[in-house]
Amino acid sequence: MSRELREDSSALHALGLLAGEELARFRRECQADPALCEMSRVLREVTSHLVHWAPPHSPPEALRERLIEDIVSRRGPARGPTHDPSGHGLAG
Amino acid sequence: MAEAPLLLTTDPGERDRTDALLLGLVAEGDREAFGRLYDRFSGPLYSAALHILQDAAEAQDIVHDAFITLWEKASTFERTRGSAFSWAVTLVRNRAIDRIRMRRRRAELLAESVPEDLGYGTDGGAPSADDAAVQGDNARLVRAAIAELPAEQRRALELAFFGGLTQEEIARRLQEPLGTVKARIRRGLLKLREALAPQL
Repeated sequence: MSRELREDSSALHALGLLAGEELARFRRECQADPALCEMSRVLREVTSHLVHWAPPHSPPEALRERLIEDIVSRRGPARGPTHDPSGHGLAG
Repeated sequence: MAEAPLLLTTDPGERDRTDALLLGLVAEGDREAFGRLYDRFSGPLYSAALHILQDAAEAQDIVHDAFITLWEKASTFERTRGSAFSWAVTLVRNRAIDRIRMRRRRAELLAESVPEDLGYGTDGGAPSADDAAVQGDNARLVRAAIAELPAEQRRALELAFFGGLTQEEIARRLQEPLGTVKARIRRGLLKLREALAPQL
């Protein structure tokens, strides 16, 4: 894969724009090529900063209170890592 | 744990380490750490969700659900795979985009459901002093870096990140070939990587 294609795929993956066969291929290539995965990881960090592009708003205080109440009523956090070779970008 | 030094740092590496440390404590069931993580992340996450959804109640639901996931799955976090903040952004953005796609499918109004311009177009998107005060130095740096991008790269990234459009939909919206759109996204992200390197 050329450098340009690697960068294209990594950028699209970082933005969640790969789907279907393109995504499956990228994941396969990631497993065989850690540098590709690392490029996607770095670009995902870059894209996460794009949230600061949105006009700033503060959530209502009631949301924080609701969340704290909810976690008190829930069981504790689950244990044990899951495996996603292409990173957190596809989880959740 | 000493609180003030962790909360006051502006060093990106230290900031990420603090986030990871807090998430580690959350994984142990530490509710205070969860509250502190919420205080660090909720502003930008809520702002992004609101910008994507244009609906305060839905944005609150999304942020709520994402933080519940952080609480329940904190122990699955591995710092080598990305920062805690990046994970949280992914949780919120994926949920918000799922919602607008559902909304579009329901209404069959794809063309009308994404704003033509999200407000940071050719004027450079420079932050106001108030905005910078709210979001801090990091937000100011990010907005300044985005403002430096050519307008066509900015627009492609805007539609990709906030619009919830696929590659093909972005190309149709911009009336450009798919390859051109991919190139704009790639070049835009690479320029941002360079500009934000000290923050990564």
